[in-house]
Amino acid sequence: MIRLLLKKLLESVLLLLVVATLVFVLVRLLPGGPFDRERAVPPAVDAALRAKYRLDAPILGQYRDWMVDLVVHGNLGPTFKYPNRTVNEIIAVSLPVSLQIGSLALALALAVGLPLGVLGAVWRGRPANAVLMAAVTLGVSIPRLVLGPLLVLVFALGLGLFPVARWETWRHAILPALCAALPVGAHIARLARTGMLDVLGADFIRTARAKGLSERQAVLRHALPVALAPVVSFLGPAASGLLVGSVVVERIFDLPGMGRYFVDAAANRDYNLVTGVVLVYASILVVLDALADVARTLLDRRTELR
Amino acid sequence: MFEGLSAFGPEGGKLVQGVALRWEQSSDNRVFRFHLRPEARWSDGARVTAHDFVYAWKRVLDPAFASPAAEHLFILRNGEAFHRGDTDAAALGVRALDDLTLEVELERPTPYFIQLTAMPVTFPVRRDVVESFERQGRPEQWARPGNIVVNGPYTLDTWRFRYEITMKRNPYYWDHDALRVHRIVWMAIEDRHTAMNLYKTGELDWTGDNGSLPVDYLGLLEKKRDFRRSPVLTTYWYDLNTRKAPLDDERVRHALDLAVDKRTLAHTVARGGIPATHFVPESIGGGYADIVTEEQAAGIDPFALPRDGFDPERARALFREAGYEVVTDESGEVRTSGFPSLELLFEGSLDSRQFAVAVQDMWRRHLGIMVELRSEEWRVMLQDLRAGRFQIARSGWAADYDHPHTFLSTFLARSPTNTTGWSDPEFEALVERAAATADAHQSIRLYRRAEERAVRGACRIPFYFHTRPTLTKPWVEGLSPSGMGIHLIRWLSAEGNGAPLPPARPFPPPGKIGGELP
Amino acid sequence: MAGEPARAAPNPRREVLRRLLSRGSARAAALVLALLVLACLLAPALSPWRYDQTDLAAGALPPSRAHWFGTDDLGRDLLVRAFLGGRISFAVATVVAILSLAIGVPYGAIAGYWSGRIDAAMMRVMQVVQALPFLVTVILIEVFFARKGGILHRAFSAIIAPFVADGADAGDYPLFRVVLMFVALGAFWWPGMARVVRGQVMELRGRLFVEAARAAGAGHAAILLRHVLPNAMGPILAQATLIIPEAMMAEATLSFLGLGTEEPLSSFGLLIARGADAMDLRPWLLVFPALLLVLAVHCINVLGDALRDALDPGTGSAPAPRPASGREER
Repeated sequence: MIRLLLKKLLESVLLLLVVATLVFVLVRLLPGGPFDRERAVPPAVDAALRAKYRLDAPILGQYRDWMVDLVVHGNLGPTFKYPNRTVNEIIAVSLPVSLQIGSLALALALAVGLPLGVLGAVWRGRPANAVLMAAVTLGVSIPRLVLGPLLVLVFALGLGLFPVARWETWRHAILPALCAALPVGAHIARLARTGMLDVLGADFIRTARAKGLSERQAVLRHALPVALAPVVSFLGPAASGLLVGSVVVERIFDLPGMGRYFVDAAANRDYNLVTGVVLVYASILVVLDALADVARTLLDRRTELR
Repeated sequence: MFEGLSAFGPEGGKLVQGVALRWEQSSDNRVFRFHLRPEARWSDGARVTAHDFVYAWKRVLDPAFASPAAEHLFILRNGEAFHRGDTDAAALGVRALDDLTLEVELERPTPYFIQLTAMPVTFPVRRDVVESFERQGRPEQWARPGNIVVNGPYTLDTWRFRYEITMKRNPYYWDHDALRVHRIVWMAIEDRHTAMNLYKTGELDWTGDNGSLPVDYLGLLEKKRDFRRSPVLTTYWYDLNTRKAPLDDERVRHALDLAVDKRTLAHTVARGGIPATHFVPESIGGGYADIVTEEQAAGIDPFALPRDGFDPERARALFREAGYEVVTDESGEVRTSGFPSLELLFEGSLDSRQFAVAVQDMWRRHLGIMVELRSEEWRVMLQDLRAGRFQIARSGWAADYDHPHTFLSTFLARSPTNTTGWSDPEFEALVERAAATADAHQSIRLYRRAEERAVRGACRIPFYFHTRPTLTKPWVEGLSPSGMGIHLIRWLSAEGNGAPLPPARPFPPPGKIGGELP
Repeated sequence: MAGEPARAAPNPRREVLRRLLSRGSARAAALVLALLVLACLLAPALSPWRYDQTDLAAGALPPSRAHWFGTDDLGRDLLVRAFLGGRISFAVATVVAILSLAIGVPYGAIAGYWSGRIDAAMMRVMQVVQALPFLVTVILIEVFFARKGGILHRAFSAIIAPFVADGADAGDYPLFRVVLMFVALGAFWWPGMARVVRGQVMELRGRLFVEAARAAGAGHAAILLRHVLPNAMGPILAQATLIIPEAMMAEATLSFLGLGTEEPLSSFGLLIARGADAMDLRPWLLVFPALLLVLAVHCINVLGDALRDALDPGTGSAPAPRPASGREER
């Protein structure tokens, strides 16, 4: 068991190094440098800046230094856009914000999505189902850039229930978490519903029913774990996305989270920052995927107990 | 937080005394001597001396420090050479004659130098503070709350990165008694709508200063009491690549300019720009604004044109002159035959898209040509511009300092910002003469003549001068607009906290050094 | 289960279609969708307004008899623009969904079926693809492949030349960029599908009927194609329909980055993004494009559900309050 875990860990670290290397190369292929401005800087100034950040060294040397810094010291290097800040520092202040909003959003998405999905399957063919499906359609089709302002308009400006933006008290977290959660929740509901529909007709559920289990028991104890397979598959990337933060949500609600750096850093050609945030995302994705595989094995065991 | 030799005053950005009380200059615009006020103090009580300026300017130019703003101090004697590492710091044209006297020698006559003394690039820095953190191996820490030592009216209190900065009064500021506000909170809000909403709910007292307001709501907001609009030293223009056909023909370039209705574009698409028939914003300093007012009063402003230069008839005539067949059919539709394809390049943002669409439609309507639109990510576009891979490109210029030279120098053939390929010896000669002329009035007149050459060359189509819409709560006073996005918090006050401010002391006119070289 | 046709239907494809259309909701959805597509194709030609004709003086006007959907802030007729936008949005959605299916289903099926080392390796590749910074990749695609007059563009021109009536030389460039955008989106969207398929296959692999087929000597390919995948159709179709609105909005994101739809053309995503800016002042700019998008997505959802049921003969014939009641034949 421990050997297996170690092997998984090693694989994951290798994967992260591959991602880091790829991003290292890709960002440098981008046209335009980090010090380009509307005003063209004289070559001497550009050269001095490049020398300061060691961007003038041969690319392999740069890569080696950067890799050593990363692997040995856990240091992602300086950012080019924000003088006197390091990538580590920026991630350290912004990631906690994203994690808080993201985990709240994830909980909300599951809390809304799963029950709706199960009910949608059980209520199949009833009018309630049609309403539910319409709601899910709305949920997946309305993008966050519409949903966010709408939530602000209704719940903050209109009803005055929540603050319009900023990151101060727990009340500031509700609307952004909702905005982040609803599309994911609707997606979960849709996947859970089809998963459930498939399972409800399967042999082992019929066996369970035949054994005299109530419909409720059959659904919750036997069908649900299997029906969740598509949700579990979808959840890895979706949850990672929620946890590192969404640019749109952060902009609308003025949150000092990490999501915006996925856009800013690439636009600014802030090489180290791009790599930094991508590595954070990849790490979370790898961990969640591993968890999903464990969850799948557990769910499978329960199925086998049929 | 910091204060330069001079400072922007509360009225129209006119310069007032900063750390310097008065200055002298040589008649050839090359040697300046500043006399500092003896009572100026840093926020830890130490005296502000001429050495602090010398250190700061050398630091900006130090190639190891690699400041992106180094270029602005290339005007110092040996500034560029020092930055390249060709000379040592001793040869640099800035010296402290004593603790309170700073002497500056410039590489060549620079009419806007005095404007630079109010800009951040010339602010003083405390050497002992910076160096003590450098010795600890944590150079970035000197500018953090608790560590930073400033000489301006307010000092850094807290700093939450890209979220919020708070400032409190600097108790040692020489004009401390004139400060009226205790704490200032700056919120870094990226979204215009969010800023407007926070203003609506009372969390902001002032917004719009650097993010502007949501364009769609301007019509509504304009009717509010809190709304203000002030000119900004930024011009929106399109670059025309004069190296490639059909834009190598001056007549075609002029026709494109004449066929756009700038008044409509500025008012309805840009929502509140000032239509521009030339390149330098009319509110700019250095004496330019005064000359514009003078010329307009006398009716001799060369850039005052009927309908802001919109003249489709003449545009079509120029097209015909250039050899294209332009016909207007019975339904009033204009068709031009034989015109090569043209492409308009812009960055993908929504504002640029809207503007490009409107311009495209005007050219189609009045000239009968269909210009293709193409958007690119901003830095990709920048590369294409500098490599000359474009025909028409959305561009513009924001003033680096409060003087027309910042705009007109972008038309010089050697300027890396001039992507149009246009060069004109007469223009260059005029700018050179203007820069070397010590008399401000005389100098600006020469700059105006140079600008006329640039307009005639039509390598850029000026559309409008930007304005900045802001919302300010009625109890906020003393917020004077700055054309360059510099926050003038020194004059800030809120209703009911303290006596009205004494009038600001203007910078006295310079004394003469009589041209001697030290 | 559905591995072997439960009823000996003479033509399984026709049978599926018959079942699909036997449901009222599916018929209605198909009809509405067909009308939407037809409107997108015809409305721009039938309308008295040009899609790129501005009227700056009038600006944004609410819906009226002349402009049923109102006009945007440049005074352009929103109805024409919305239906014109539908062309690009429907095309994006279709292409991305098909690409996702074409890459994601085999990929996910292979990974899920063989598990072990093959699965681990394939999962890693997927993680790398999903970790790649979207923006950086998109800009690179734009820079390396979208050059006007570049090899790809010329190849594209040569291919479509026979299909373009007036031998448009410069005119095919915007179209070329849209096609490139399809590819870029497809490249990022397939792992989502692959993951769902992988999860389903892993789950089904151990079921009795698969083991039975294996015992009966069926080959891997046969088991995957005839027994496993048909039973994973529900989630696969669901995921495919879920991709559609995502792809439509992603198109807008790409367009703002300079890869994708170029003005004065438009798309649902671009119109919605614009409409969101002033939803309380000029709601019509948001409501009409959003309504069209939601309507389209809903119809596709309903059709997807019906198709899933039709493919699964057990539950397909009639919507029953107790699911799985129609399985007696097994």
